[in-house]
Amino acid sequence: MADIKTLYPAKGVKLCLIPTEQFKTSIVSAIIAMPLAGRIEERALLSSLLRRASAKYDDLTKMNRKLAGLYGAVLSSGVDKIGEGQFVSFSVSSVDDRFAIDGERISSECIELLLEILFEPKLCDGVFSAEDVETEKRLFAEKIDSEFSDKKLYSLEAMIEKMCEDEVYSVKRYGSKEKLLSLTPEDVTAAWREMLASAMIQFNVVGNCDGGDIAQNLRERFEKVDRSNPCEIRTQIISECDGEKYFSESQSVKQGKLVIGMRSGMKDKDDDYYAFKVMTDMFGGGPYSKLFMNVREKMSLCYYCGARLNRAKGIIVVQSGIEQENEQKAVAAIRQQLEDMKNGVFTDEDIENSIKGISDMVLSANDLPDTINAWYSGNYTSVEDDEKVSPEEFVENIQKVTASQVKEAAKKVSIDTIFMLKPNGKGVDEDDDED
Amino acid sequence: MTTKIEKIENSLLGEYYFRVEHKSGLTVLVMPKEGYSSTYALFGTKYGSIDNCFKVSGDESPTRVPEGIAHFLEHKLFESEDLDAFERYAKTGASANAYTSFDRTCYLFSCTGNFKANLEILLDFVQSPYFTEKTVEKEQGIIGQEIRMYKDVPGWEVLFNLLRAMYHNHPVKIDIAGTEETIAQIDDKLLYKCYETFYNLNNMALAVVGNVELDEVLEVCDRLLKPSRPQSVERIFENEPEEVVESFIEEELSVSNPVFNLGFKETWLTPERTLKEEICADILLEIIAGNTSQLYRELIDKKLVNTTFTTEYFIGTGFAAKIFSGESADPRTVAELIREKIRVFKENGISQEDFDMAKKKLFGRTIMAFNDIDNLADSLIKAEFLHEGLFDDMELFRNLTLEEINEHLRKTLDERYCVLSVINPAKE
Repeated sequence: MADIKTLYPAKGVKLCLIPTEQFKTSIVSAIIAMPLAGRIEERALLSSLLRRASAKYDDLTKMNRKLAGLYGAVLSSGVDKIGEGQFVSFSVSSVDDRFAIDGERISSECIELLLEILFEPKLCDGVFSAEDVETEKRLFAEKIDSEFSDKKLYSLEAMIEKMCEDEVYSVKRYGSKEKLLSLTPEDVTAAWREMLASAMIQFNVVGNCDGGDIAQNLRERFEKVDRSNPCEIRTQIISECDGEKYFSESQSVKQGKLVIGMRSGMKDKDDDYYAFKVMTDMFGGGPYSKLFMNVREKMSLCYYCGARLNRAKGIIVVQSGIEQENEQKAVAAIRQQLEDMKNGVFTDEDIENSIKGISDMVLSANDLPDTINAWYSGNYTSVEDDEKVSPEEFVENIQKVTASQVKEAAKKVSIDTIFMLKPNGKGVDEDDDED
Repeated sequence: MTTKIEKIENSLLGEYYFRVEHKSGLTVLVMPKEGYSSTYALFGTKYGSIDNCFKVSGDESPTRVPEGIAHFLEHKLFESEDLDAFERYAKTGASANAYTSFDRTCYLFSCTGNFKANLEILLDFVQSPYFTEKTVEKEQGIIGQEIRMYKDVPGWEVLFNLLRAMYHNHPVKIDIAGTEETIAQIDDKLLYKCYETFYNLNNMALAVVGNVELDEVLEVCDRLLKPSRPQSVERIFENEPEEVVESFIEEELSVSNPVFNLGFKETWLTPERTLKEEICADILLEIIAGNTSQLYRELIDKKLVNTTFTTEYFIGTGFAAKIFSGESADPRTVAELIREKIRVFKENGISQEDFDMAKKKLFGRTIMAFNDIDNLADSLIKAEFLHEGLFDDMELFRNLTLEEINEHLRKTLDERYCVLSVINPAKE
């Protein structure tokens, strides 16, 4: 991996330049982080409103035609929840200048476009256009609605909402749909100004392009913003739960969805993180994991059954798609596999395999500009957090994990909430007349 | 037989790959990519869910097999008498997987180390079938749940309903994984029959892309590939009429917004679409309904679609359709607006400006795709099965004319062969 240059164009604003000549494309991105509180809905809406148009390209079609003209440059935006922070992000990826048939400077144009989107949006008399705000509200509301159609996602969100009902984390990444629909252009404009002034912001430039200008460019643009008081994000981590919660819901689906939320026992995002990572992977990571080997392969209960560690929040979530009649059997089997992890029922080879699997996956992050960008954005929970661990350093750390650490980590895990989405009978076997 | 090696280069991209006709009968494609940490390998056979009726040279009568057997076979091939393939990969750290499509089955791994050991596992397990009654039974539960899972995915259901309304006979209309009833008919003998028929190296290709040298691939191939005897397989497809079965189909699922697919069935004289036809179709769809088009803008402004609106040229052996898809409260009006816009384009032709912009956009996207080793291995196999080269589309883009796009437009998107498929929200 090439040398990463880190600059600070303004207080609480970081710029990471990651030069590499390996790829045919470059990517420039902005990650804007604020606590999961306050104007959540406004910022969620801004993630698509700012992408839609800028002062210079002042409607959707002009913006998209500009991108097409830049050899199909891809402008993406999104909003995520990491721990108890809300992360709004924008990126433009484009082909290298050397492919420009008419000698265009594609990558600098893309950098400029990204900055225009953030700093010079389309405003009428100082506020966002009412028409644009209304359109983006409808589009965002439909995006929220469609989460109901994705039963895996729906069940995960339902479980989190219940498990973390007394924590900030129960708030969705976009806040509430009702509030979103009630926003005015003035609300959104105020949130945009607040975001530029107080969010923690990181810019990444990955690729074969001269990012030298961008630092100066950012300095000039941020001079007009009061950056005296950037925010901080703190996440409440509950390491022990008091008792297990169970709840279920019925819908007209054909397959049941089981979601189990666990407290990992981590005290913060760095507390024995690597041991928890290996432990979760052995428990329910790849096809060599205990959940795959037993719940799927031995018991034939499901097509998928896996566990994921949510580092920033310190929780582990198990998900599986099963027949409702197998719910008890599946829950018992998952409990048993967790017990086995706690009791150290695994071999040194199991740990080695898991470490190899994780290392392999992590190192492959070096092979795409997008994954490099994601890697150096992913750990971003504090601007002072300067330990941007490289994939290679991550692998060094993961290789130090021992059997006893894994066992100790597993012992701290406790089941908090079990959720089952049940078929209500209406959705089943209604398609017998097909074929 | 001897092994023949050819080096294929493209100076604009600064890329090259080797196409090797291995003495065993297998075509091997190797694309070294400087600076990459990982290597991605794909071992594929030209065999998918649509190949459910066939006759092997020497057989008296054709064999018809249960729906979903190609996918079932893919699952079962991972098993062996000893360690299954996943257990073997676990020791090397590779991520392994496989997929079955309408006309291909591919086994893959990606790794950042132990490449040769991983390639040995891949070549070995795909060439070593082991099916018993007991292991077949076990898989029926797992695949049964996979089938159920897809039944709740609206984007999947809306497409297969569309295909059922579009095709009278072509097996593209059957679910890739089959149904719980059809997979119950699968046994070890049928699996062996399909394996012997389609997992012949002459019908297969291996693509390796990334951190790799040609010599290491060939060394493993020489050691592990068991020469296949030449055989001819006749795939039997019933005649497919030009007409669709019905022009509208709907179903209820647990969704919030209705989901739709609007498809235009195409009939061609040859079974496979060339890369050129594919590029023409992609450019045409971009011009008609891409996010720079008038139609897209109009549909968004009239609150008829959202950002999920997209298009696809859906093609494979013996089937081709242009599909417009998305979410809408009013799919019928969307369909009418799309058809209207197509009529206008057919009357006036495509403008030079629209053509130039779409071409520039898709040309850039084609270059972008050369970053991604997963995607490159897939494209190498796909091009090989079409008897084309990986870089052919770069040349095609350069030489493509507006007249060719207009001609493609005149020949396709015929309203008479159009189907609207809708998934409506179920009453909970």
